Amino acid sequence: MKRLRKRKARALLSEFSSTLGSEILKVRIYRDREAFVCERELVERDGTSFTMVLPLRGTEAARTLLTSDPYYSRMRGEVWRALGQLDKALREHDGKPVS
Amino acid sequence: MGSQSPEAIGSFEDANDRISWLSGYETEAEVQAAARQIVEYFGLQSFVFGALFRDGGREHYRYLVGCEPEWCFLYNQNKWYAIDPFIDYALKNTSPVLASDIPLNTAGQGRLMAEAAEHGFRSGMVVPAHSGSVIRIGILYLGTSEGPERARESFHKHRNLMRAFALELLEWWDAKLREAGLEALDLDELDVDLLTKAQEHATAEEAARELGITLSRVKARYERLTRKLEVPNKRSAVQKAVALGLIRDARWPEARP
Repeated sequence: MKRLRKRKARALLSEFSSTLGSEILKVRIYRDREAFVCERELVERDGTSFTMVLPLRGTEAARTLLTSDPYYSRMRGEVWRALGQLDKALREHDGKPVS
Repeated sequence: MGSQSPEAIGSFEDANDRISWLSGYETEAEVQAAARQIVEYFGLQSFVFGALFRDGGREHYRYLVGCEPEWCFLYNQNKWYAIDPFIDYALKNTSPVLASDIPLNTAGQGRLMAEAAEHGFRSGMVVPAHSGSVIRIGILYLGTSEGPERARESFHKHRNLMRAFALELLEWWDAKLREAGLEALDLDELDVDLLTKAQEHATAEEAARELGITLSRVKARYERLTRKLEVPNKRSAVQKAVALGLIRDARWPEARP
């Protein structure tokens, strides 16, 4: 293990979850230093989880990602709230472009 | 977030350097950007790096996505991880393999591959990476929308680099999960050092001397550790720390942090 240091935890910008039958879908957007990342976790009834980790290149990429989710129609409101929070965080980031 | 635009890789040496730099990156965004360059050097376009691990008897699949996210949605929605022939291969093998060399045994696997072909993985290869840590295995899927000849050529040319790439990704993710575990429990480097000392059967006095801290601080820390890890004693704390990947299993001393 090459890295071990105490550092500030990455900041959670937005989080929401939705119950889909026997499964739970959790979406989290973090700011990690200068980067943003989306984690989409689907937790099955037996606790098995499947987490996609996708670095985000800006609000547009996040919008494309979240609105193409097969469960988008079930969490539309939360998605747009999360996108608003991401947009605000990006604007507060001195207007720097997101790679 | 404007710093992740590494230059294209032009040589084997460059590629080797980029792979060795992976462990130094802090964020998924940096790793993904670097990984894309490496994958392009291989003459391919898509990748997914998956880590499979257990926590409290439950299976977790965690994927860094370097392809069309729609593919991962589809894979996830259809629960294809349950029938993915490459996971089965990776659990039992260490050698990189061309995807076309893995037999498909069920109609479901046939459907999986047909959809993969539509989403940037018409042909490709799978590179297993095994670890002595909490992660059971890592699997690097590399793909191209071109035919199998392209994948075969890339595979023969870059097979060893691909293996190094998968191992570095696994090590990076292992460190990331460990960091997250430490953060979640609010533990720090001193806690890890103390757990390691306990694993080495050092007494509290020896730990205090070797770490340059007072005995009362060592004792207080061990009490705090057992509380945070919700275990009755130091020995159980070590076992739980190993299970959570916070410290290495002493059976693999060469892999110690």
